[in-house]
Amino acid sequence: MNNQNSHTLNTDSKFLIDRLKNGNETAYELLFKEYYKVLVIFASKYIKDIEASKELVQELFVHIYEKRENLDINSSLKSYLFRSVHNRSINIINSKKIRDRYAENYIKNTDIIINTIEQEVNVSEMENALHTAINELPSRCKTIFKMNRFDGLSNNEIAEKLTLSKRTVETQISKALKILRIKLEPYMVASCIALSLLAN
Amino acid sequence: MKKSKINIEYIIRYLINEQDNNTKQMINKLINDDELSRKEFEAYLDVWEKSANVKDFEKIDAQKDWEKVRSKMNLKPTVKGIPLQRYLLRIVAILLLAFGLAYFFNQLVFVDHNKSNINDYFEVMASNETKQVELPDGSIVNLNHNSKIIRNNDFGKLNRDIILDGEAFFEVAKNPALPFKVHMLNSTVEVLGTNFNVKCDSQKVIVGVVSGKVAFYQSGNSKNRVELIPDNTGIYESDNNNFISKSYLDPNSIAWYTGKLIFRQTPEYEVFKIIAGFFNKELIIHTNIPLNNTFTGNFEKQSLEEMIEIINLTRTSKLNVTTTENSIIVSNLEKYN
Repeated sequence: MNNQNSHTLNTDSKFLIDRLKNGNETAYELLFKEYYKVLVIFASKYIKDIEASKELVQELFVHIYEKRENLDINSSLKSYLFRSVHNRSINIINSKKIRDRYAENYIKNTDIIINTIEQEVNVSEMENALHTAINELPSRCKTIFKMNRFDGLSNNEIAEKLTLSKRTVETQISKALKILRIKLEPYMVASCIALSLLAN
Repeated sequence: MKKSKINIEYIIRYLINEQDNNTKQMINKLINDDELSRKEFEAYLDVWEKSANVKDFEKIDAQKDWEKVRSKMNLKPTVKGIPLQRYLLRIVAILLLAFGLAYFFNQLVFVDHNKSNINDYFEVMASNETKQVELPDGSIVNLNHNSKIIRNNDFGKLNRDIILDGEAFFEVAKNPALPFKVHMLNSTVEVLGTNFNVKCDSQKVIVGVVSGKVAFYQSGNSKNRVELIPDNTGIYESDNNNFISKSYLDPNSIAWYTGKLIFRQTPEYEVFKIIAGFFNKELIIHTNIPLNNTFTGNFEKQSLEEMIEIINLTRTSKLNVTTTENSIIVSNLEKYN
């Protein structure tokens, strides 16, 4: 989008941005709670360290607050946030000091060039949606699914721990997968497009 | 729509039970022969593999980390009412002798963030969606995007006070004994039972009344006030501390609640601006587009695409309107075709 050839008018997001510029607490809280998790995951794609990613995103929010009067957000808040986290992540990777400290944790620069920012944003958003969807599963279904996927337990082990039949465990996991597949449909399309663009 | 030949049960059996060789062979054959089956299989595989990755999300506590970030910011409180509240309490203390204890409880409205226990008040926040909240007195609050309300533990018993930041439509249950008050930005809306909309930002509060009667005044100085009846709009600007009333209510100002958009010879630029706001998107208009027409029509429950189609029907030259997740982009049809 050529910004010089078009003027941008924010409507409701202008309402939010105005309040951000004004240092309004609710506005910052809303923004933080909306984007914090997905931004941390996005940063961790680059810097491979969840605690460092948390710090990075927290610092960004404090920075936005401190510089609020000069905030220059013309496109969307979302792309502004992802772009800022991306730039900060790259800076961290490039900083020799930290690279030495966490040498084995950080991926090489070359790996990052292969994946576009858009692609990493898509993956992060899909994972965010997936995590939300997992936590919205019916209670028993969720417990069993998390034991399998998060804790790496086999279906036999889960059956034993919960004193259920293996068949019940499999039925619940199957149910979870069907629900998640449907809920994630919108993100599948996005990542397919990203992949096909990349192939060209 | 074409359906893939693959049976979903097989895919799932394959994923959750990898040692099953029969299923594995069957799947391999199907995904080699049929493109749709392969896509379906890959979608399930994607969900399955990513599920193990999202474990990291469990290590992120947004509430806890927000408190950390918050302490590093010198944030303005939701309502400028914390100093105000001390002011109020001081007045109350003086009036206390004259009016007795009942008055005191009636006035003790604000939550002191510094002193009170977090359990003493409740807050409800709507970020990316609108939210409907039923209060203990039976009143309904419809919260618009990016908005928050706070009430304390005594709501419905000793007070009916709400602190609002953002926009909300209130359907207030009648209770002549206990006035319902909405506080924001140094101003208060007080009613007994009515329906009204309130929108506030850091400089301005706009109140639109649908039914009943509303008093809208400066907090701590109720003489500086306007009284509003149905179809009135009240505006307060904190810069000059003025309350103004207007004898109309723009139906589109409550469209987020009613779902109805009404245009009467409205300039197209305004129409698109209102539609974009309604869908919570930003509007981008290419400067070379002449939007000189006006538009007359009503929308209710139409999709964004349907609205655009209807507007285009009234035009001799069609507009090219594309939408993204966050924006509506209006450009020239010819140029892009």
